[in-house]
Amino acid sequence: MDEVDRIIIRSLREIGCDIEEGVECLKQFSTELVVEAAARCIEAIQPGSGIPTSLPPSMSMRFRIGAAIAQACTDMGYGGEVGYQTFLYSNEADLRRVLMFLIERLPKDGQTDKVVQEPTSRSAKIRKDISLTITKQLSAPWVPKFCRVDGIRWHEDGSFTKEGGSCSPFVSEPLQTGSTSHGCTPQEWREYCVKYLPFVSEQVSAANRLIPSLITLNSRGILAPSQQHPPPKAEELRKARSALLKAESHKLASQSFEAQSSYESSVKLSSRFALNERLQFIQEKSPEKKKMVIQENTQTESASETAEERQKRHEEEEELAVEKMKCENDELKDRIEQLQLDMKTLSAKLPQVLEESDIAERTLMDAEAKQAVRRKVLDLLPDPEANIAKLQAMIEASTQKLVKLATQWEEHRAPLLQQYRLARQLNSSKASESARTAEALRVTREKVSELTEEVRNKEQLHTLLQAEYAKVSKDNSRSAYTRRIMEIIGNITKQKDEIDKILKDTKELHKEINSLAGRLDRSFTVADEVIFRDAKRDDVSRRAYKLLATLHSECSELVKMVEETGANVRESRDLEDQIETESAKKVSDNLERISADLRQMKQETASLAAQLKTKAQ
Amino acid sequence: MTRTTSGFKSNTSKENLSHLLSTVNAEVLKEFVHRCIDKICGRKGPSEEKFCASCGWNHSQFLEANSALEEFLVECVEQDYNRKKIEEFVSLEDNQLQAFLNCLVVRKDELQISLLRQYQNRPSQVLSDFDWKLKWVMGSSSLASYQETLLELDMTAVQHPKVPITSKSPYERISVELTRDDLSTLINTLEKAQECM
Repeated sequence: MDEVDRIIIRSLREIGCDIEEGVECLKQFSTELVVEAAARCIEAIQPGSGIPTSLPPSMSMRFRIGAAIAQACTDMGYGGEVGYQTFLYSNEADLRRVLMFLIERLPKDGQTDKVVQEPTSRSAKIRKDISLTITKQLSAPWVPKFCRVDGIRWHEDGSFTKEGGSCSPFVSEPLQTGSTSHGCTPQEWREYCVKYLPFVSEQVSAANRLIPSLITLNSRGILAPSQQHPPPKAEELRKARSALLKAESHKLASQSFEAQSSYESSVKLSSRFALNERLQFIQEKSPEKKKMVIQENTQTESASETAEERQKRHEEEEELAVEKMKCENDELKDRIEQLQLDMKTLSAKLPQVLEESDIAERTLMDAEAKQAVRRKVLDLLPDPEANIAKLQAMIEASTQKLVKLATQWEEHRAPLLQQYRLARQLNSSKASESARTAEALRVTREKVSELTEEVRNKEQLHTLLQAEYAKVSKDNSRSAYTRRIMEIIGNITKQKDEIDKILKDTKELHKEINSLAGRLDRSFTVADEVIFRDAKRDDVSRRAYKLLATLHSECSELVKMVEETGANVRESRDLEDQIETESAKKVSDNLERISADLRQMKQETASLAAQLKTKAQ
Repeated sequence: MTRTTSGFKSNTSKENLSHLLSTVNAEVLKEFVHRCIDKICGRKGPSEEKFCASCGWNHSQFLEANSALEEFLVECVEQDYNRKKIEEFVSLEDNQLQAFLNCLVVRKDELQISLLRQYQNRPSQVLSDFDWKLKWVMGSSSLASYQETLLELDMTAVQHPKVPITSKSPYERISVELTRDDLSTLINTLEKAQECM
């Protein structure tokens, strides 16, 4: 039983019970410890059972916890008798049976598995998170779009996931691009555009409205093309170089465009449907519409009428100015072209001219050198003899000088050469040395890298082995238990052999007793007959016969007595055993505790009743 | 079409306006007027930080100047005030008045168009923008493989507020999912409506 208790205690320690070192068998378990052990086992088997591991002071709560644990055991399929008393007023045998049942049901290798699955690196953690999120999203039911504000879906546990794409709504604002001017002078308009018109990206009130606004602006431009714009004017526009002309003609074009687009945007819903048909539609009906809008404007507001007139006047004025400027521009263009042509021919000529001047300079230098030589020769010509002699002397002198210089050179050269050779030798030796050092360094480095590699391998091996060791140490106890079990089995077989031997002895004894009894019977019968025959004639024999009869009866009585004594001894031993088992159940102890608890409960009840009474009053 | 602007309140607001604007430099005034016109036209309005710093206003003064100026600008455009009339209502220095008038002349048409549009759309909600997504339905709770195309049409309807624009968002989103037939019906109806106009 010690062995079983030790296994139980070890298992309980593994699932986190706080059992003191000295406790070695179930007999030493206190009630608190018993309840804690049972509650922890149930928690490990069925996570979330919610049974508290410590006993509250209140008696009724204690009973409730005991009953809950008993109920959990029954639910798990425990066959034996179990109730709150099993845990609160435990006796050793019952408790052992229940705990063994619970420990058998504990999840196998639960803790070691957990350790292995614990994510170690960041990437593994992220992967785990991703898989968790995807699982959650897949398991969640579909919800319509309006249940996901901004594409965010809230889960029951308070977490959220993002589903669906961008969710900023398509809301546009009218943009001012500065390409259109209204009833004001171009100078004023330009000033406004340059100084006060913000960039398109700064005009919108929120950043997510920029793209919708731009799309709407463009689609409006497409839906309301400037059809009235005559093609030759567009040609000019492209060709125009002067910025002023560009601005002017642009303004003219956009005025008509604006009339159209203002009508478009004010009277109709903006729509991008059926683009082609729409374009046609506008082409056919636009002049009418323009008239319509003018009419409407005159009807509704006097202000717009004056604007219309002013616009017309502006148009005429600008038309004239444009004509004039065009003429000027044409003239200027002609002149520029002329000048450009001239410049081109001249610049083509330039490199040729440069080359020619270069060649002329070179010939000049050659001629100058030749002239200098000729002048010297002419100087020498008048006195040939003396001059030849002078020249020869000069040659002689220069050869001598050359020889002298050569010897001098030799003098200097020899030591220098020596020095050079020495230096070269030194250098080579140094180089070889440095090469050797480098080689040594390289070797050392390789060794270092090898060693680090080895160290890393060893470390890996170490961690691996450590993990294995951790696993093995757990298994150690298991093997120990198997060994122990094998030993116990061996013991049991040995005991069985002994029992068999004893049984055989007993049987032999029985046989012997039987044979002896038979012999006794037989010899008694023979003696009885012999003495009975003699007794008829002899008195002594008669007395002997009587004595024999009494001896026989006395002996048989004695045997009976011995047998009875043996039976009594057996019975008393049985009774003693019974007493021991009963006393092991600690009935009296438990009875005392139960009665004490009952008293406490009665007190609690009384105090509660008193409270109730005071409240009722 | 015309708004009654006379009355005690608007007169006091004009007095306040001239009081607030009287200290402002002409260039800054011009910028401020332009931004207010932008706001009336449905774009980003004047930035509070910038103008509070350059004009020396506090928060409530800025708000008051903004709203009063917007009101006044709308009135100017509606009633087509000339220089004299404007001088009557707000007392400004010569260069300030010139700047104000310049802004008004430059932006008058834009203002007129946007105000006209606002009045036309005033009684009801008007579609301002729409967006669409094409969806492919794989199945439903009752049919394992359904396989149909759906068009999700997001329409933004705008309720034009009273001028000046209030702080409450005037936009409302209407989302519908249309099958191919629904969509063609919708487009046909819209085209018919367009032809009638």
